[in-house]
Amino acid sequence: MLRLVALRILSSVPVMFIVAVIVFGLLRLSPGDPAVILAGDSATPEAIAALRQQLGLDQPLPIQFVTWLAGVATGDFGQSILSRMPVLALIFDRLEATLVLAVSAIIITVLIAVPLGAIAAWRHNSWIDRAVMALSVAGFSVPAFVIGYLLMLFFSVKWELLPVQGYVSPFADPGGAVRHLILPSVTLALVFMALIARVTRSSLLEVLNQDFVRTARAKGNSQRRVLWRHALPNAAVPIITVIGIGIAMLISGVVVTESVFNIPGIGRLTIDAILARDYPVVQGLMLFFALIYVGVNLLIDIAYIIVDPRIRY
Amino acid sequence: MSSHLTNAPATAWLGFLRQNKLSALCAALLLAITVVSLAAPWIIDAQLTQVRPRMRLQAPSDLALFGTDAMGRDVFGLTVEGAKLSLLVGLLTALAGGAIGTVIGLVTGYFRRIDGVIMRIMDAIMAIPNILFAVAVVSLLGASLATIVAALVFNEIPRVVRLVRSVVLSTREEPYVKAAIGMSIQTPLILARHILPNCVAPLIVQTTYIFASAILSEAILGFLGVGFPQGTPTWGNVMAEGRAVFLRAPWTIIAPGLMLAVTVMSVNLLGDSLRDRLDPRLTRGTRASS
Repeated sequence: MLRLVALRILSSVPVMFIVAVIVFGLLRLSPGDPAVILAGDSATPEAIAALRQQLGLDQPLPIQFVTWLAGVATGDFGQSILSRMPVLALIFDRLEATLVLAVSAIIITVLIAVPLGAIAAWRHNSWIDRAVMALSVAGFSVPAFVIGYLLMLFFSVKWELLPVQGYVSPFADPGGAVRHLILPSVTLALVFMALIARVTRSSLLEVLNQDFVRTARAKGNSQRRVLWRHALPNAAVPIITVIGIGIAMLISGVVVTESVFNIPGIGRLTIDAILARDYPVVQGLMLFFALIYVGVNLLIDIAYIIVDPRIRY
Repeated sequence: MSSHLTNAPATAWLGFLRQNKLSALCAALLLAITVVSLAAPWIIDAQLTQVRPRMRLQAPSDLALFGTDAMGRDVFGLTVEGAKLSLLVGLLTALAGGAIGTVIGLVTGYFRRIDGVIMRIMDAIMAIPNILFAVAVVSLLGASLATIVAALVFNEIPRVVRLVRSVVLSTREEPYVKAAIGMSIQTPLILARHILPNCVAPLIVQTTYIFASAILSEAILGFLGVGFPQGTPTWGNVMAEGRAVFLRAPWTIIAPGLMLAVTVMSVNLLGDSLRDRLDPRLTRGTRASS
C-alpha cells in the first residue's frame, strides 16, 4: 500500500513539470518586452537594458526556465516586477479571502447538492427528479456572473438584506463575514451544485438497483436508513472523484466571483497580474492553482488506495 | 457501437426530433437564434446600436425591448448583433477542439509507446485553470477571433483526447481490427476506417458540450475585460459594458445573459438527449464544464 501511495505521488511530478513548462512558455509567447513596459515611455535604452539584466531577461530562455524552476523547488517563486514583493508573500496575503470563499462554497454544495441528487434518484422520474435535473442543466447554462449580479440586485439593492460587495475577514468580524459571504459563495457554488447533484443522482441510481439494497430493505430497515446508510456510502466514490475534478471549475469560478463581488482574493490578483504583465506573479499563481488541483486529486486517490483494497495500479 | 444515426438519412433525425419534444424545441430555438443572428443587418436598424446620448439608460419599453445601455444603444439590437460572434466562437471551438482532440486521441490510444507522455501532457493542461489560461493567452497575444478560439480549444483538447482514447483502447482489441492488422492494412487506414467510426457518436455529444462551454467562456472573457476589443458586439462585451451601470440599469446584463443562457441550455439539452439516443453506455454526469 505504501508503495502504491509513493508511486501515485511520484506520478504527479512529471505533470507538475509539464505545467511549469506550459506556464513558462505561455508568458514568453507574448510580443511585448516586460522591461520596456516597466521602464516607461521616457526610459533610455541603457535603462531598459539595465532593467532587463536585473530581471534576468537577458539570459537565454532555457537558463531563465531552470533558474525559475530551481527557485520554485526551494520555495522561492521570485519577485513581483511591479511591487517588488516576493510572489509567495503576495499569494499568502490574498489567500485567506479565496480560501474562505471556496470552502464555504464547497460546504454549501455538499449540504445542498448531495441531498438533492439523492432525493432525485430515490424518486426517480418523479416531478422532483425532473425539477432537480432541470435546475442542474440551468446551473450549467447561466453564466455565474449573471447569477451573481441578479442575487446582488435583489438581496442587496432591492431588499437591502445583505451587503452589496466586499470582503470581511471571519477572524475579525464573524457576523459581518457571514453576511458578506452568503451571496458570493452561493454564486460560486451554483455550477458546482449542478455538477454534484447530477453525479450523486446517477451514481445512486446505479447503486439502488443492486442486491444489497434489496437485502437491506428485506431486513426491515427503514427507507431512510436504506438510502443514507446503505446506498449513499456505496455511491460515494464517483461523487468524491467529481468533487476533485470540480476543483478546476471552482478555481475558474473564484476568478469571476471575486470580480463580481469585489473580493480581494488570488483570483483577482491573477487577473490584475496578467493585465499588468507581471510575469513572475502570473507564473507563480498559475503554478499554485495547478498545484492545488493536482494536490487535491492526489489526496483523493490516496484515500481510495487506503480505503479500497481492490485498487491496484 | 451505434453510429447508425449519423449515417442514416435525414428522416431518422426527423423521427428523433418528433419523439423528443424537448429536443425539437431546443433545435428550433437554436435554428431561430442562428437565423436571426445572420439576418441581423436586415432586422436591426443600424441607427439603434449607434451611440445616442439622449437615449441613455432607458428601461425596457415598446421603444426598446431590452432597454438601452449607458451610451444609449438599444440592448436588444446589440444582443442580436452579438449573437453572431458568440455563436461563431462556440462553433469554431467545438469543430477545432473535436478535430484536434480526435487526432491526438486516435494516435495516443493506438500507439501505446507515446501514450504515457501525451496523457501526462493532457493531465497538465487539465490542471491549469481554464479561464486563467484563456485570459493570459488572449491578453498577451491580443484579442481576436483566432486567439480566443485557440485558447479555448487548448482547454478543451484533453477531454476529447481522453474520450477518443478510451474508445480506441476498447476497439483495438475487437476481432475486426485484429483482422485488419493481420491483413497488413496500413495503420492510418485502420484508424480511419475501422476505429474512427466508433468514436463518432460520443464525439458528436462531446462537441455539443464544447460548443456550450465555449460560448460561456467567451462571455466570461468579455466580462473580465479581455475578450474581443471594446465596441465589438458579443454577448460577453455587451454584459461587460453593463457592469458599470448594472444597479441602475440591470437589463444591460440580464437581457443578453438570458439570451446566452437560453442558447447554452438548448445546446446542453440537445447534447443530453443525443447522448441518450446515440450511446446509452456513455456515463451520465461526465460533461463539459467551464
